[in-house]
Formats: sequence, C-alpha cells, structure tokens
Amino acid sequence: MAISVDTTYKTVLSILNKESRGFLTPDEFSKIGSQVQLDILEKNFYDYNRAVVKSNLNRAVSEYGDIPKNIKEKIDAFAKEASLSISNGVVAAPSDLYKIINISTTNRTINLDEISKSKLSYVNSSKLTAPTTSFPVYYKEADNIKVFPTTISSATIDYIKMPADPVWAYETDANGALTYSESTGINVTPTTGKVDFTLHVSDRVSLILGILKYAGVVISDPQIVQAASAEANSQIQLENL
Amino acid sequence: MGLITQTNQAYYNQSQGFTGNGSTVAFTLTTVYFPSLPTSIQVFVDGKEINSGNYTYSSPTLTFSGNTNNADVLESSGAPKTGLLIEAKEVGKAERYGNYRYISMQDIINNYMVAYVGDGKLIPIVNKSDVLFHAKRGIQEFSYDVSRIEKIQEVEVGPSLSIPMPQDYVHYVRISFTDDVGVEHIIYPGRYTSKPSESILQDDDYKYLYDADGSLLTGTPVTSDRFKEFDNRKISGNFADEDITYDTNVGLQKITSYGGRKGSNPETTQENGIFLIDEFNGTISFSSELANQIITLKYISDGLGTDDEMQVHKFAEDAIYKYITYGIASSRANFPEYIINRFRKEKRAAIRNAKLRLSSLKIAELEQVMRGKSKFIKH
Repeated sequence: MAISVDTTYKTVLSILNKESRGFLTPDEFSKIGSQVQLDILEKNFYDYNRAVVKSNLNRAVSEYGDIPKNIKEKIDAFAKEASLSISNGVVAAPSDLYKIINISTTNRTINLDEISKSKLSYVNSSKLTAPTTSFPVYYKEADNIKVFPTTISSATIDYIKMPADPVWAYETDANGALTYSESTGINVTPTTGKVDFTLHVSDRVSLILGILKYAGVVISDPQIVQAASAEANSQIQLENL
Repeated sequence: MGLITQTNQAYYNQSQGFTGNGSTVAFTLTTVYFPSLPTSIQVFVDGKEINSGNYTYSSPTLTFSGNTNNADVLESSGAPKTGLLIEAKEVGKAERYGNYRYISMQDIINNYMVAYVGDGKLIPIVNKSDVLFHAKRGIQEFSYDVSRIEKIQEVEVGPSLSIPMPQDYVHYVRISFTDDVGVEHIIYPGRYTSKPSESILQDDDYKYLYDADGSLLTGTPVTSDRFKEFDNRKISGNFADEDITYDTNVGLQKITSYGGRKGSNPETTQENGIFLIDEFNGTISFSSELANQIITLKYISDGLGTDDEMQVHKFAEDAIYKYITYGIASSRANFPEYIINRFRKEKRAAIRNAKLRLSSLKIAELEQVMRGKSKFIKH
C-alpha cells in the first residue's frame, strides 16, 4: 500500500511548524519527496543484499523476523509488468524502467537470460550456448533491450519501475489558503491531481526523516538536519543489530 | 499436477475425437491431443474414412460440408450424425513412443534454476547460459558412457566399398553385415592396412613435387586401391578345404591335415571381412567381399544432434543435476574446495547409480544366461 502524500506532507509541515522552523511549499515538497523516495528505493536494494548475506550465514529467522522477505515486499511495491513488441531483436525499454527483474516469452514459460555484451559473440558462436527460441538471451543497451534470437517477436517484462514524482494537489480558496484535493480538474493544482508515494508503508518514517533532512537544508536550519540525521542513524543502527 | 499432459488417444493414436450432434460442422483441433497441430489429417466418422471432398482442414479447424458417398454417417449439411464418433487423425506422423522415460533439456534447465540456484542455496547466482553449457556437456558425456543410446544405420555397400559416416557419428559400437536370414555377422577392423588421407606426388627421383604456391602436390592414394583388389582369403585362410588343407585323394593327408590351419592368426581367420575408417575424410571402407552386402552400423552420437535428442533418461536425472552443479562450482573463483569436493563425490555417486540403473540387469534374464554355465567349454 502506498504512502499518502497528504499525510506525509502534513506530518512534515507539522514538525516544521511546531518548531517554528518555516514553511515548505508543495512544489518544494514534491521535489524533495521524489528525491527521498528514490534514495529509499535504492537503499532497499543494498539492505536486501545485506539481509540475504546475513541469512546465508545461518542468521535467518522466519515469519516476522524474515528480514529479506520484508525488504523484498518493500521493493515489490515498485514491481510492474509490461508487454514488449520486439522488432528485429530490438525493443525500446519501458519509459519508467528502473531495474529489470525478468523477461520471458511463451506465456511466461521461457526466461530470457541476461548476458553481458562483451560475451555476446562467444555465446552466439558456441554451438552449445547459441541462443534459440527455447533458450533466448538479452542485454540492455541505453534505452533499448536487444533480444536473441531475433525471431522472437513478443515478450513480457517484469521490472522495478521508476517511482512517479509525488504530488500534493491542492485547491486555493478566496483567502489564498491551500486545501488538499483528492480530485482532478481545472480548480486543482496541478490539474492532473495528486500522486501518492509508491513506497511501502513501512518506509514512512524513513521517508519523513529524509524529507525533513532536505527541508532543513531548504529552510537553512541545521538543527533540523542534525535532528533528522540523528534519528535516521539510530534507525540504521537498529537495522544492523 | 501429473506429468502426463497428453490424452491416451493422443499418445497411442495421434488423433482427437469429437462426438457429432447432427448440426455442428466445424471442430477445432487442440494441442492437448497433438504435440503440434497437424498439417494434414485423415477423418473418420463412426469408423468410416471420410473422403476429402466432404471436409476441409485449415489448422486448427476441421469443417465438414456435404455428404456425397457418406450419407450414412453425415447429414446433408455435412454435420456428423448425432452420437457418432468423429476421429481426426494426424497423417504421416511417425510418433516416437516412450518419451515419458526422458526429461527434456528445457525441463532440466528450468528445474535446476528453481531447485539449485538462488539465495540461501549453494549456487546463489548463475547465468542460464552457464547452466545450459554444463547441461549440454553433461548430455554429451552421458551419451558416451551412461545412457549410451546406440543408433543403427542400415546401408548397402556399393562398388566403391565405402560409406560416409552418419551425420551425427561420434564413434562406432559395432559394424556387421546382415545375411539372408537377418542374422548379423560382426565385421572387425582391419589393422594390416589403412586409408591414407593423401598421396604425395613424386618425380622420377622420388623427390616431392610442389605447385606454384609451394604446396605439396597430392594424388589419389594407391594403398586402398591395391587393398580393394587384394584377395582377403590370403589372410583369413577362408579357402575351400581341399585348396589348403589336404588333397582329398590322398588318404594320409586326409587323416593328418584334416581341419588344420597351421600358423594362422586367429584375429584374421574369419570370413566376415574387415572395415577401415578414414578418420580424416569421414568414411568407412570395407573389404571387397562385402560389396553389395547390407551393413548395419551401430554407433553412438553425442545426444545433441537435434532438439528432440537433447534429453536425459529419468534414471540419470539426478546425475545430470549433480554434473551441472559440479561443473559450475568447479569453474568458480573462491569457491571452497571442500564443497567442490563434495559436489564431485556426489556427481560420481549419482553417475554410478545411473549407470547401474541403465545397465538393466534383470534377475530372470541373468538366470537364463547363466543356465549355460554348466556346459562344457571346448577350446
């Protein structure tokens, strides 16, 4: 479940206002929120790696203490599926692609193997490893995905999407006060409406702390930065126990 | 879910059945009944073959039309009559039965990736291409000495006394000629001549001749031509008794030399002929007495010739997984040596197990063979 952009914005504002620190505009909030969301997503990959390595050292526990599973759930909030129409072995990657999880063909029964570009010629020329429709391969090149054999015309991609920028949409009343809006339309800024954070709810604390850190920089208040950083560090220490 | 996805009818008969209701004229064939949809079919209604004028088939749809000459089983619209069984049978499909014994290459790779690779497993991450390589190498090795599926080619030897090696030939198992009653007689390799791959041309002074580029000039080897004309009986001793052993008119010789083959070499004293393998040119040649004979060539391939061949007997399924695991682990850097050793031992044990299972030793068959053990063996 996504994190409500309204709740987050209001929490951040309440912390900033309570301490009479200053005001963070919706536009500033959106930009900072987007940055922090990406930070947390990227951090989750590293956390997952550490958690798996730990669990491989027989330090794994099940159910609520299954940290790799919990972190995977956080990342899965960004998972997305799309169809690819491949032409001559080349297809444009989805515009919101962040990381590829898997590409498959034939009703998801055949996985494409990712190979490194430097090995392509060896893989192609070896009769034991040459790609076939039963054992196809791919590699990513800039914004394209290249698939071998080139006779493959369609595939399904599972990937981690680039999170959409959070937007706190609002309507302005006669006194110039801003009111959060769940709807869309010409009275709403922006007209396309609100966008929630894609992050898993368990990342809400990290998200607010992260936004506060950047907000402290924006409003030039080092105390905010220090307090938020200290809180974030204590969280990291807790995770590393 | 059970492993069998084909229906019994599809397996034994390569056909799909429908029941007529007197009005339906179009029927759709599905891959549940055929490995791949047939391109050509025969149609039977209530056991009677329907001529192609009364139906059309455009994969996957079979459509009946009219009932000329088939009014007993088809309505005038072409629809099979109510309750009659319609059978669409694939034409020209030489079904290979018994595929359930094998596990396909694709299944091997998928099973391996699921069960052996991943977080918390001994192979945390590996490219599928690597698994594919080791799996194919495994199939090759297993074809040589674990599952050993022998292929048999039957060829008639022409006047050239030479046949090409089969396309997927790796090595021969046995070469025989078949006599008039279908019994095979083993042909042995000839060790006293050979098939030179090239013959170097020389001048009158026996010096080598070269072309303008400095390469040796070569011609057709004469060794094999001479051997073609050679009377093999001079080596095998396969002459009529009177020609070599004794004069039947001389009673004393009849007594003293009967059955004698003094000084002959047992390796060559057989009448089945010999074969020579030209490894360079990929041909198998035979001695002259085998001209126009039917030859059966039993050979082994590497199991990778066609996609259909890329499979492993289920008795060796565990062995192929162990083979792949060892192959991957042993080619990795910083992999603990004791674990590699464990994989090696597991691989060897699994292969030994597979060999035992595939050697197909049956008590009753052994018993039958061993019944001859008390017979007196003459030398």
